[in-house]
Amino acid sequence: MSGVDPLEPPRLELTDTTLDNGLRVVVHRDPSTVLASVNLWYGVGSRDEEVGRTGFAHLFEHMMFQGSANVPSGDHFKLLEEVGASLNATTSLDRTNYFETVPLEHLDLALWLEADRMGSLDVSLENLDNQRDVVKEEKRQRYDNQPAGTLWPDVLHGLFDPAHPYGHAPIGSMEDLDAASLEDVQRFHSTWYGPDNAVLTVVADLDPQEVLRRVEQYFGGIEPLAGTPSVPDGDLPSFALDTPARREVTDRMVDPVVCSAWRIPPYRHADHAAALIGLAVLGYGRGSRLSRALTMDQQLVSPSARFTSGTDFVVGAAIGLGRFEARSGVTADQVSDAVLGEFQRLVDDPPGIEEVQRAQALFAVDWLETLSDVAQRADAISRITQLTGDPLHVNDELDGVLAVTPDDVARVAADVLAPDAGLLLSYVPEDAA
Amino acid sequence: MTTLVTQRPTPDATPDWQFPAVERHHADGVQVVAAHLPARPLLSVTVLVEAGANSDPVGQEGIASLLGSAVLRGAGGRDEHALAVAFERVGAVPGVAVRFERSEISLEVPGALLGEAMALVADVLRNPALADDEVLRVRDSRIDRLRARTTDTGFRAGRAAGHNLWTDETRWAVGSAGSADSLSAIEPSAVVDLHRRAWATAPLAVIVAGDLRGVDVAAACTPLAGGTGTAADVTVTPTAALEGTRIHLVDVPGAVQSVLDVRTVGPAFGDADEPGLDVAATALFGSFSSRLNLRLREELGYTYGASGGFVRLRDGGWARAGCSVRTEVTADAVRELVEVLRTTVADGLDDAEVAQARENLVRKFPVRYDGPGAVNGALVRRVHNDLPDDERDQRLAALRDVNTARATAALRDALGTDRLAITVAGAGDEVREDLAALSLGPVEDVD
Repeated sequence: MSGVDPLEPPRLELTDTTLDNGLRVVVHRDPSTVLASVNLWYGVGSRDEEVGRTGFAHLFEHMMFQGSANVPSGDHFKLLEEVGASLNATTSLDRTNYFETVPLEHLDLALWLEADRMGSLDVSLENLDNQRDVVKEEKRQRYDNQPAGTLWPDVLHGLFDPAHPYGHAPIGSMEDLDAASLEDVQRFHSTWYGPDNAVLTVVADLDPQEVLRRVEQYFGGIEPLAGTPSVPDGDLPSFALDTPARREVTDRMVDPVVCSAWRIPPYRHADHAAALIGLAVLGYGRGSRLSRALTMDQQLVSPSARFTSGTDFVVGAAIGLGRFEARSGVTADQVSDAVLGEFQRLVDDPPGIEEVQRAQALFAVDWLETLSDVAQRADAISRITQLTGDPLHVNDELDGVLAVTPDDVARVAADVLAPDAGLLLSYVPEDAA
Repeated sequence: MTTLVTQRPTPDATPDWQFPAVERHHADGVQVVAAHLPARPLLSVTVLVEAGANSDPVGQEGIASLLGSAVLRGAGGRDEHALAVAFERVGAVPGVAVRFERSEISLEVPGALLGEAMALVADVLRNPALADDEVLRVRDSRIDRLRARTTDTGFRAGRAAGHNLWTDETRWAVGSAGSADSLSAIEPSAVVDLHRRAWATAPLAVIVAGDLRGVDVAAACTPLAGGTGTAADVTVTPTAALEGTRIHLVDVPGAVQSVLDVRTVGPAFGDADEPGLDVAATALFGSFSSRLNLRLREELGYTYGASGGFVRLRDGGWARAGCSVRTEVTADAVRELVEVLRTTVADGLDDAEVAQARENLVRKFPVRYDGPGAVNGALVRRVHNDLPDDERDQRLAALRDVNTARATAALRDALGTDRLAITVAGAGDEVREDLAALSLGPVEDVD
C-alpha cells in the first residue's frame, strides 16, 4: 500500500446553528438515507457529580425515560419502538447522550419526545425506586458479577485522586445510589438539562432549514438554564504519576488478568493523537508489538485483536488502557514484566514509518466505519461539537492521527507512556493471593 | 417560562421501502452477491463457507471453531505476524465466525483495497500453514480461555443450559467453540484433515455491501476462485434430554447475581409461521417493551433487562429466555419468568402488544438495514438459506398482515411450555431451597 489515500474519509457538509435559548443544532443532510438520526449530547457526566452522589448522572439518565409533562412513564420507549426506532442513552465521565434513529417520517416524534424531557420531568418516587433497583442490577451484572469486572472503576481510582472529576466511574456506589432522592432528580434536571448545555445533531435527507424549523418548533420554547456550572477543574501537574502505581486485586479468577493504564494528553491536546498511535503500535491489531511478543513469541496471554485503546476525555487527561488475560500457569508478574518491557521498548526502540502507517490504517478504517452508519455519524458530530466547540472539526478528526510521525510517537512515549509513568493492576485468583 | 408542544406530532406519509438491490456473479466456484449502498464508504465483506460446527464429532466438539482460529496463524507463506500486518496495512481486521451450519470470514475494507484483502483471504482459506505446533498453540489457548471463564456466571449458565435441553449426542448440547475437554481430545492432524475436507476446495460465496462506485467486485474476488468441491451434507438429529420441566442449578460461589436461562425445543427454520412468530417473539421477549422485560425490569426491578428469542436452524431449533437477577430474588424471578411464558401461551397475546410488535418490526426494516454491516448480515443469511432476492421485501409484506390470532397461534405452535429446561447459575446454597419450593420440577446440581 502506498500511503493511506484509499482511506481518505469523505467531507461532511454541516449546518451549524444556535437557537436563541442556547441550543446548539447541527444538521447533516445525507441523501443516501431514508432515516433520521437524532443525537443529543448533554454536557454533564459523572465528573459533575456531588460528593455522596456518585452514580447519579447515570441513574438520572434512566429517569429521563420515566415520564415528562406530555409523555407518561413508559411511553418514550413504547412510542419510539412502535415506529421502528433504534434508541438508547449512555452516560460517561464528560457527557450523557440520548439518541434515536427513526424512519424519516417520524423525525417530529423523536424531536418532540426529546424536547418534552429536556423541558420537563414528571417522575415519582415509585419510578425512582424502580430505576434505582434496575441500575443496581446493572452494576451487579456488568461490574460486580464479572471476573475483573471492576477494572474500569479501579483504573479511575488508581489514576486520579478521589477529588478529581475523573476519580470515580459513572456506575457509582450502591450506598450513593441508595441515597439519591426525588429532590436530587429534580435539582439535577434544572441544573444541567437545558438547551444551553446540549448539542443536538440531526442526520437526515431533509433541507437543513426545514430541520431547523422543526427543531425550533419543539425546542424553541424551552427556557435556558440559570447558568450552567462550568467544566470542573481537572488540571494535573503532569501526565505521569508521581510514583509508579502497582496494585493487586483478588477476585473470582481462574487465571490472572493484568491491566495497564496511563494518563495521556486529553482530547484536542497536540499530543493526544501521538499517544493514540503509540498505544496502537503497541497493542491494536494482531500485527502489533504486544500481540507479537506476548501471544506469538512468549505465549503469555490469550490473543486479542485489541490489547490497548485510548479515551477522548477532556478534563486534565485522557486514559490509555491495556488489558491482558494470562494463559494457564502464567503469573501476573510474568505478564506485567512483559507488558512493561514492551512499553519500555517503545521508548528505546521507537516505531518506524511502517509500524505507524499500520496503526493509522486501522484508525482510518474505524473512522470510515463511523461515517458509514447514520447513527454513529450523528453521534460523532455531537461529540466533536461538544468537545471542540466546532462541528466542522468532524472533517479533520482523522487528520491529527494521520499526521503523527514516528518522531512524535517516540517523544510522547518517553513523556507519558514510560513504564514507571502509569498504573498496573493485577486481578489474581483468591487462592493465589 | 418554558412552553412545550403538548400534542404528539402525527407522522408524514410512510414512503415505500425496499431492501437494497443486489448484483450477482457466479464463476469458477465463487458466488458473488453485492449490494451498492451509496455514500457508505466502507465495504462490509463476508466470505461464506458452507461448513460449520454441526459436523464436529461427538467428543471433539469445537474442532471447526479451532480450524477457524488456526487459519489466521499463518497462510500463503506468511507467518502469523506477517499475515496480520498485511491485513492491517489495508485497514482490515479479519474475523472468523464458525457457526453450527456455516463459517464466515468477515472484514471491513475501503473499496479500493478490496482486491488486496480478498487475495489475503484466499490464502487464509485455501492455503493456511496449519503447522502442528501452531495448531496446538491455538488449541491450548482456546482451552485456557474456556477454563478462565468458569468463574463467569453467565458463561456457566449458558454452558449448562445446552446440556439441560439436549442429549450429549445432539451437537447443540455444546456451544460451537466446544469445551475444554472436547478440545483437549483434538490432534493437529484432525484439524488439517478437516481443512482438506471442508475448506480447501469448498465453493465460496462472497457477500459485499457498501459504496461500490469504481469497484469491480467480481474481479476483486477472483483470488477466491477454484472451489471444485461441494458443501458437505451434515444432518443433526436433535433429541431433547428432558421429559418434563426441570431446574439445573450451577453453583458459582460468591456470585452476587443469578443468571437464569430457560430453554425449550422450538421449530426448525422454515417449519414455523415465520412472520407470525417474529411478531409474537417481539411482543413476548424481543424488545424493551416486551411483556417479559416490562414485568421483570420495569414493574419488579429484578433485572437490568430480560429478553429471549428463537434460534431456528435447518434441522431444528430452540427458544431461550433469560436475565440476570440479584441473588435474593432468584426463585421469585424464575417463577415470574415461567409464568409470563406460560400465561402468554395459554391466554394469548393481546391486541395492543401485537400491534406494537408488528409496527415495530415493519417500521424497523429501513432502520435495521441501513448500514453495510446490517445489509451484509441479511445477505449472508439469504445466501446460506438459498432464498430469493426479494425475500426481505416479501417478509416485510407478510409482517403487515399478522394479527393477534395469527401471532398467538404461531407462538403456541413454536413454544411448548411443559418441558422447560430451566438453568440457574449463582450462589447455590442461597437459592437451592427456594427453587425447590417453586415445585416447577426437580432441582439438580450440575457443573
